[in-house]
Amino acid sequence: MNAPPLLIAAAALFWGRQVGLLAPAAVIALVIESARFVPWRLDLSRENQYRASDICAALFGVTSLVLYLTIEPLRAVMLMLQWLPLFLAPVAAMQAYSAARKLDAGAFFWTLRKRHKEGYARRLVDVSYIYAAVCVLCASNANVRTGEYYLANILLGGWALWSVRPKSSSAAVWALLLALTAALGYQGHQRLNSMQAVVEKTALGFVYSLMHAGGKDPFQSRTAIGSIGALKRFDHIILRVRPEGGKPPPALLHNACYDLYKERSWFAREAEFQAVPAVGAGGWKLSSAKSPESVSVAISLAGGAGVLPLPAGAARIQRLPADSLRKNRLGAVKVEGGPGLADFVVRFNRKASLESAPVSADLAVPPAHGKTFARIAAELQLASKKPRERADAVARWFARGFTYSLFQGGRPLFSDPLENFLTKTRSGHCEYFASATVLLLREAGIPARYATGFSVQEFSRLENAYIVRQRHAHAWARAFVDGGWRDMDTTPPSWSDAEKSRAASLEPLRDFGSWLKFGALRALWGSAGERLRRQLVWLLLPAGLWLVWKFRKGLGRLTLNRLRGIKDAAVPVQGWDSDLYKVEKRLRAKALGRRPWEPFTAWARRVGPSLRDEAAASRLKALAALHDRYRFDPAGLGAGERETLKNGAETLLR
Amino acid sequence: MTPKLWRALARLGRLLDLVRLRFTPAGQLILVCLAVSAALGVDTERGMAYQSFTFLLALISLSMLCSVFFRARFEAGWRLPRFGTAGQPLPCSITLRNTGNRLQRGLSAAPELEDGEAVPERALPDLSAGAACEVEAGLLPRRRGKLRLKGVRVAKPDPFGLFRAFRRERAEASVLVLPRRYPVPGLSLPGTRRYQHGGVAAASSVGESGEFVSMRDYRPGDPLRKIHWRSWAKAGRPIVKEYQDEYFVRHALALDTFGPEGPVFEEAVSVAASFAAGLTTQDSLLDLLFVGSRTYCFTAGRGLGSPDSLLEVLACVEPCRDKTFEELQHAIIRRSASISGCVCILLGFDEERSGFIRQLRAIGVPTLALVVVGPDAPAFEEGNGILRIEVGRAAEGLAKIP
Repeated sequence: MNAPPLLIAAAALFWGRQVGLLAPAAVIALVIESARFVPWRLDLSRENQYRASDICAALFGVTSLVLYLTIEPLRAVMLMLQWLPLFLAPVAAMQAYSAARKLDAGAFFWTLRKRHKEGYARRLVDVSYIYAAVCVLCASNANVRTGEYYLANILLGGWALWSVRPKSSSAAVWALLLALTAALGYQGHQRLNSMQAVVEKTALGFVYSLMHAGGKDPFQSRTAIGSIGALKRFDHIILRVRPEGGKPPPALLHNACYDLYKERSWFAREAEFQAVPAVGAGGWKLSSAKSPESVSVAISLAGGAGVLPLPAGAARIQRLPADSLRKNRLGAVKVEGGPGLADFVVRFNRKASLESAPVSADLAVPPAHGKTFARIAAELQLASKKPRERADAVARWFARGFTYSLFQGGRPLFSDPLENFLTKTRSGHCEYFASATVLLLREAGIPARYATGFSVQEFSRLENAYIVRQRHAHAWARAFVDGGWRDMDTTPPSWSDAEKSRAASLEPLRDFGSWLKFGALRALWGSAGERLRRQLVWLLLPAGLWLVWKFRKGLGRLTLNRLRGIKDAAVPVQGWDSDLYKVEKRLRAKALGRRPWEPFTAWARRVGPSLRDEAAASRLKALAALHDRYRFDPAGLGAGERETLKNGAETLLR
Repeated sequence: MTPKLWRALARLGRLLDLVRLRFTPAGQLILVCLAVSAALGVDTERGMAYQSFTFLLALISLSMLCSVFFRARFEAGWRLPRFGTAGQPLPCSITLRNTGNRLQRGLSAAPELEDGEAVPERALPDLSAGAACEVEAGLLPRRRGKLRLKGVRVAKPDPFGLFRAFRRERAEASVLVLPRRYPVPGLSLPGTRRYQHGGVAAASSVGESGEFVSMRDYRPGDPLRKIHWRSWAKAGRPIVKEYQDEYFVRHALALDTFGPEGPVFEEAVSVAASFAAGLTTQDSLLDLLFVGSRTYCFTAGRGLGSPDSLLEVLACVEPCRDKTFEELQHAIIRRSASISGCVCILLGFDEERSGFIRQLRAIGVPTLALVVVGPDAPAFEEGNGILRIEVGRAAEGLAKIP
């Protein structure tokens, strides 16, 4: 059964409107729907159908490859999904203009072609509904966030469903059910959209942390507080930082911020991501603050996605071609659909910050630690000092009596490791210092957050840039002082020497390998790589054209047949319009139908007694005899007899 | 492939069968769209496909919910022939009566078989309360043997036409499906009439006249030249002519059952059935010999038994696993004095079987050996009454019988 008139046109036009390809969509709609008025049909053999669908698939493949090489992979996939109806249009048109009004299933599945060769029966498919469905689903990728899309789902879906509705289905019940479906679907997608944040926070955050080991989970930071043994022993380079304008680079690059401390872990609450507006090609506007300084950062992004390490006060990002950039209220910025190697420029203002204003949660100290921090705050007499002085006092307190150590000698059995750090050992790594600083500042009434990221401290002559290794991963506090968020790193400066002392002896060799790899990645994803890919396009285009030409030659000769001829050939030559068929159809609905092997005369004899009266039974028998002659007698019926057959059938039908 | 993977694939296959059975083609398309929209709409911020997903999910859920309200009662029965033939449509129909008190519209019905094979559904007319109808069952038995019918499945689609509610009515019945038959040319083994111990009372004349005896219904395997076209036109079904073969001969039809179950064995049974149906229509006796749990000999012809009885026996023949070929060999040699000729249908042509053919000929029994083998079986020396019959090309092979 083919789609009802104008359904495909409506679906195609809706798709064109959504993805911004209205003109091609109008052409597709016109071509496909015109088939209803054109009296000619293509005589398409099975092989021709195979080749035509192969051409479409080859064009789709070549275009995908070209897009993959010229733009970001994720964007290429999204774009190809949007354009899919364009590539399927020839197939839909082929069906519309074919005599059978269906296509061989082998045109879409290679395995079926093989089965046909082995002698299996042909399977025919009707692609008209499938094409309409593809149009609607592909339009969803345009992401036009109005009510139009859902309305189109209801209208086009309802249209298609009405056409396949069982005859026994009551129109009122059908309409009621469709209305109910629309209402349920509406409620469902409203709920689903609001659940997105929750889903992101749990499942995606978890997956993200598994998939992007190099980045940070922007929702949760499990600190190594209380762990035993050596930490941060990785030497490999993960970032390259080049300051611009002769100024020193920022000492710290932020990955994420957290505001809730619970059971040795830091969490980010209400940290849903919002889209960052794009400004020109590869440009993104994080905030409207002035940005006098800039720094270039290069980082590998597994799968083109990850959290970006940014200096405090980052306002704009340049040269980062990506599908989307999103940030949360705590200043974490993540990229999706980006290049394999992101080599971007960040413009920033050291005095500004990306984070939201402090809230009451930024002053919360866990009850379990309340007493300890209250005692320290009292000891330091923080309550009597001004905010700025309180922050300085805290920094001095940590600088005085605390030392840095990577190795935790033993896990305290009964006390909290943070308590142990503050009251007994007074030695730990950056996470202890950062956590303790944040909680002490909060106790002193200064809003504070826990920040993670990287410390920029090592300059490489080989690369003529600052390099950041895995072991330079760092944690520190962000304090809200003097109306702005400021970095407050209380970890003793000796931590970098302690880390360096543990560097592997083969580190220079590994650095050299890393430099070579970085060069290769840059060639692929950098501006030189862009040129290379563009050149490849010029090689691929003729290859694609050659492919089309080769397949075209295989199409062979297509013949056009007039529809009338086909119609005539599809029905019996003689007697197909006998009026007795109508009578038979009517009686079939009353369970008095003719059996497939039963001649009309035998059928008339059998069902005669079940008719309302004797006259009807004898009339049916007489008509059956006339019908047999009309169908099989080479001389046919005379005009009078034909009239008798017609009138007799009408009488019976009445 | 590991057993776990097999089990997983089997489970997946069953699930797909269930989906095909329960969902209409439109419903299947909706399911595919649901899966695609779920994949595209994972991120509700990045696309609008999640709206299609919820709409389609609501649609499918409501369709499935509607099936709960299909409350109808039926009484099912069958109109069955006595026999069917493997590979031939079985002319049988389902009779269904609406025993509920509501008019039922848009129904379809299909037979349910014991072995779970799917049968295409047939549309039913509207059935008012108490009304009955009869529809063709559309059965196509693929194998010989007993075809067991479990009942009738009545389906009704939901108002959208996506999901179907089922009502299963138990109506057990069975039909014997006879083996497939092929046309067999007239057999002329160079044997003579033999003295039949005890005689056959019905034997009334001797000689060859080609005299017309009677007409009878066409049976698959009958040669086309025997069809009486005028009678067909009159009766509305194929009718064939039977001629009297006045030589009183007794043939043995020996079926080798010493092989594995499979297409070769089935083809051998079909070849035997072709002879059983073809030769006994002439005026001669035919002994069907094979070894099952014991050695069986069934005789037909000249009033002793009908060809149908031989076909019934052949419909139930199974391979013999606990005896050797020698059993069959002895059974035929014991009867060699009374048989004019022997048709041996063998499952291969090894030393034992070729020795047996030589032995039969040596004791003066003209023998035709039909060796049924698979297409890639090794070649052997043909000719001189030994014919190779390949699986799938049996009719072609039988046409070569001299």
